[in-house]
Amino acid sequence: MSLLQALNLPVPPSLGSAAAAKQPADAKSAASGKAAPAAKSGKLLEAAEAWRRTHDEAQARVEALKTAVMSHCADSPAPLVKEIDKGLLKLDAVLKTVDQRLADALATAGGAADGAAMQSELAKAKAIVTEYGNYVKGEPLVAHMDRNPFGTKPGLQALLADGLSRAAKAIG
Amino acid sequence: MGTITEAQRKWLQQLGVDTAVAVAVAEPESELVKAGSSGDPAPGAADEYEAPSPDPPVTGGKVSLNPRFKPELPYKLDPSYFLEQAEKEEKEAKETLVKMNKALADVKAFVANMPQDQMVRSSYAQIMTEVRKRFPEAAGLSQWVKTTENRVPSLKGKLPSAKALMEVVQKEVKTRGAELGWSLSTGKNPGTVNSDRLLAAYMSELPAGVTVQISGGVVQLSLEGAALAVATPAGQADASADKKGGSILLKNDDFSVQVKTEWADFDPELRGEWKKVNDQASTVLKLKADRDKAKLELEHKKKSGEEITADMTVDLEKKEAEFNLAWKKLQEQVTVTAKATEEKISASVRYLKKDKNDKDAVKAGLDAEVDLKAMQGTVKAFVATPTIEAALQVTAAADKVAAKLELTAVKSGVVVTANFERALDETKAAIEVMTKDGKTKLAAELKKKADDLSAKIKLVHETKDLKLAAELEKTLKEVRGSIELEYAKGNTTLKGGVTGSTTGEVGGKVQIDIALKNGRTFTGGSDKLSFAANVSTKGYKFEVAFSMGEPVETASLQDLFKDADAQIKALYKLAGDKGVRSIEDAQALNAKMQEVMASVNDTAKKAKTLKKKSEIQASFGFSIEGDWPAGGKAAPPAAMFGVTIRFG
Repeated sequence: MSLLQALNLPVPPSLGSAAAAKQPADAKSAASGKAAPAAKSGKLLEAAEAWRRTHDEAQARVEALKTAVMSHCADSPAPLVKEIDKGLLKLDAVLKTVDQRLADALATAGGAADGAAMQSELAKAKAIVTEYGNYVKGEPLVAHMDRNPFGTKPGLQALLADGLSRAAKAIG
Repeated sequence: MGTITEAQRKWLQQLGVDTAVAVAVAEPESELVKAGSSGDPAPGAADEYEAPSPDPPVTGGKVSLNPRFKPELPYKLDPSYFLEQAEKEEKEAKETLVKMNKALADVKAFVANMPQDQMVRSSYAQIMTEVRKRFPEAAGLSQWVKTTENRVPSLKGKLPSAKALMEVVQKEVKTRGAELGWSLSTGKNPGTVNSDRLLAAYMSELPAGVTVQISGGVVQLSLEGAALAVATPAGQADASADKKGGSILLKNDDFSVQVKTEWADFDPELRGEWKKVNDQASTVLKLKADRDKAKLELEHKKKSGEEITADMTVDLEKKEAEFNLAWKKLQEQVTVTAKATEEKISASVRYLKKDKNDKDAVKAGLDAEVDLKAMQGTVKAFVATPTIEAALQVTAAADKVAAKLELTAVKSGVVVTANFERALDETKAAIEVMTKDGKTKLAAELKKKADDLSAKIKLVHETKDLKLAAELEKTLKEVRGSIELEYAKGNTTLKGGVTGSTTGEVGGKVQIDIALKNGRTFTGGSDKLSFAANVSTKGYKFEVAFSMGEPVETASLQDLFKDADAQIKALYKLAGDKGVRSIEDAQALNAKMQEVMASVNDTAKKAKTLKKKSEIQASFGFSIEGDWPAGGKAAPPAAMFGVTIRFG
């Protein structure tokens, strides 16, 4: 892009042919990275917001489980209640690993100035989805919470998997 | 709320919860894979729980980001995960063990290398105080050993004794012949030696945060902590008494009983001056300890050929400079205050001896003269060899003579009770309003107390008994506290508009917030041990007192402090409990708080005391010289707040 084009000034005819000859190359360049597609950006920003909601929902379900356990065990001897309180803290590890980094990466990709930057951020987001996915699949604590015998059904594995699936779709 | 079922127990165990601490839980099964259901399951919950099977069934799903990612795979609890946790715990314990052993070796080296002149003037308690400051890891050794024995059974037999710290110190002291030296050179009597050893033994096994002192044959232990901030439904707990809206406002908050003396030569500020000197001496001691520690670390690094960074040298130089400055200031303070004190006390002695017919005054003057000479001796010693210990001796001698003179001044002075009487009159007026308001039962109780105060204040005028005066001040404070509490409770109901309010909130304030803001004192214990837990939003102080004659074994004290710490925190957590926030009745709220603190009283009652000399020797691991003092009940620790909740 010439300085005149960049400043939105008319291109003199003497330079017109040269500009026309250069046009296909510029167009190609824009397609590959310069202008990030607006529709894609919007989708990614939506996906970022969706993941934040998923994470918040997951957090609320973990807290609800903790409350259910503590309420059920409240009448137990004090030393046991203390032990349980301590044990339940371990549950926090899940959402400290499966955290908001994905939302941040999706938001950064959605706000990228050009296609190249978007692609780079999407690669990061994809890596995070893979990392989270492996964790949700392999971490016993996730399923341990889902199969708790305290009357609550957190459905964490399904919730997180669904959230990841939607994020993956947005990434493409 | 309900019984913990077998399935629930297993679930908790798999989370690393040690369910064996509970007596009410069913006996655990040895296998993880079998989930029985021996208890009452939570409705619709426990029955559906299945313990992990080595070969679980597979169900379908739909997420597929990559071929290996199948979050829909059914839960398979990998026992290795929990084995890993146990291994991790063992690894951490082993690492701590290395640190503990190193700390013990450092303690040994510290005592072994203590300069002889310091050692001669020291005591077990002083050495242990220094050791706890310098080697905080060693201070926590005893409790760590006890916890680790249970949590990591594989380390049993490899851990040091819970008494290792005292043993190491004692061995080194004996090796250097200091114990014998202390008895010979300082003329310590067996009673002093024994209390010194008991004090040191407690210090060696109780957590660093617990302070220990023995005074007048009473062992006093205390633990202070910060208040716990608890998230409440309306935000952070912000407890404050809503006095503004009350129909009774108690304005006269100064209800002190004072003594006015015509004795111009007596300076009531004298003891305060020496207290300042004493505080400065403590600061200097701390700075000295910090400097010595930095020096020791540097020397240790030099010896072991480790790299010495510029930061470390600068740090040592900084500590050295701080110490020198504070030490110089202390020396000046001691010299100036001692000079002023000598002049004032000499004047007091002259005043007391001037009227030969006043035999009591002459006797007091002669006594003061003897104490003054003793003080002058310590000042002389300090001038000849200015050490921190000598400064402390001057402080102690000066405080002794100043205290005696203060007492004499009180006896010859006039009791001033104007403020007290004004506050009492105001309180009586408030009680009358209470009666008119229909709060007759409480008003009658408080009126009785107020009348009693009126009678006793006359006695104070006659006897000049300041101890009794202090009790009266305390009682008046309690009576006023009860009135304020009653009206704060009244506000809650009236302002809420309905007596059946489910939130208990008034302008964002609720009873529990007010109670914690005003503070509560919980007292209890057994016939041998008394405790007081003073809890408010400013922090908490848990104190225990018992007679040295029948000391409480350390394990019981460890349990008691641990339990108190946990329950006081649970008390703060009440501010975040919706149910408790809806309690409007002060009595019901106090009962709830008492319920939370009940386990502390239970633990206190269970505390085992050591009755015989042989038991004490065996429990603490030191030999007793002469007879051990007789046992008795120590006075309970002081209550700090107007509302006291007593356990029967």
